[in-house]
Amino acid sequence: MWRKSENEPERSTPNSPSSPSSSQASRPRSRGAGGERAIIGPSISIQGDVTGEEDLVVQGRIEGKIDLKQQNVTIGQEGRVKADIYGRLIQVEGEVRGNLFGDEKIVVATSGLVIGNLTAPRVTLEDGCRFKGSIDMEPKEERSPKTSKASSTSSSSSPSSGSSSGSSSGSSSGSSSGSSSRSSSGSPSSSSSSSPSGSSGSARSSSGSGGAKGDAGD
Amino acid sequence: MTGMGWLLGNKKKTPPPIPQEPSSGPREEVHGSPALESLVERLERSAPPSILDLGPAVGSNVEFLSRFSGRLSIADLHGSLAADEGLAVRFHEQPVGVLADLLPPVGPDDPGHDVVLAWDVFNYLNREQMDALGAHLARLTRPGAHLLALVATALEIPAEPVVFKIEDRNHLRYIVSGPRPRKSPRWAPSELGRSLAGFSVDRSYLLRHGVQEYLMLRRDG
Repeated sequence: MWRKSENEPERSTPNSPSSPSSSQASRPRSRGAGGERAIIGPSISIQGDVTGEEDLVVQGRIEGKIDLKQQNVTIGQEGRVKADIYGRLIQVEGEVRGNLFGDEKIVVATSGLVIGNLTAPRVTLEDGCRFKGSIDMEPKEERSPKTSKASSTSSSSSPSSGSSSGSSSGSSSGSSSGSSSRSSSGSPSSSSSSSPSGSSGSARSSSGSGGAKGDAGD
Repeated sequence: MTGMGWLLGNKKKTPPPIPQEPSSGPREEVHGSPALESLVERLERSAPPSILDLGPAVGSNVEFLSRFSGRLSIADLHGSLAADEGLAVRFHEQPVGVLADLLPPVGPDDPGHDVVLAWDVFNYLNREQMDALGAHLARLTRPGAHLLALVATALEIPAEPVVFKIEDRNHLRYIVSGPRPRKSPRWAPSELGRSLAGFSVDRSYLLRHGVQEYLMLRRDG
């Protein structure tokens, strides 16, 4: 399960501004609750592939590929990544242009910007984040069915937010109820299955004609 | 995001915003959405859909829609234009050419999207942009696909597109921002139908708060 302490980006001090062309990104290390993790500081720029066997926090720039399938990857607020990222838990607080493949979960934080596609059993987009791309919500085949779950962490008032974690409980029904406190009315007395083109305009029922109406009032 | 780029697209076509006292901060309202409910009912009976959301990324929407599995593509039309003034200018001058960048085409083996969540996008487009977007959406969707649109019937609309959060299967939270309202285009069904020639209205609902919801179906062919 997601342990926040493990994944909160650590403020790294700028280190020697080397710019390796690829491979192991493991210079400054810190020991988090879950073990070692490497930090790429804000002054570091890497062009090439990054692989390794420890968690990674990126505050610098990477262009290429981050392949840490078994590890957690955090793109910190200062991180700027132009790469596909493979990780177990991927958290984006900075900027990523590329596709993200999370073995367990992807989180785009409020400060995050992602332009690319997300693939993970669980995806969380926090309110205020910027994202453009696709989210593949198909459960992985080897996982138990219906574990694909995208969630919102910070939409406090959503009545369905209680289900934001855990499995998606066999689709449909479930959390979608719970709305009874608001008057929904709106007996969908609608249904003009007609073409709007031409002048028929049956959908326009401001005068109460046609099929259109049914206020779902306030 | 200021939304200036987006507004640029309409600058020559619509009158300036109606002067009123500036509102402070975003305002939120919850309204019923019978068109959403109707869409959800259909999605519950269908195979995992491919959904194209023209609005911005909203966590609770992703959460809600994830129950259908499938694929969700978020286009953030407004955000993309607001972030790139050059793109907004081109969208104003030659909307057809820009739409391929804003809404990438589906692959040759892809039958197209099953659902388009257009929200209130049409309220912020001029005629040429509407025509271009309508034709482009028809190319991106498969026959029988659904399109959900909220069209203003009120005289004024918020200065910037509303952010819609799905509260539950038949309620939407409107997050309204922007300093002052602007004049609404109040697209009539016939105008909408002309621009969205590839779609036909399946259901529409006139709501008390100045919005008409449409659930449209992509025609065959």
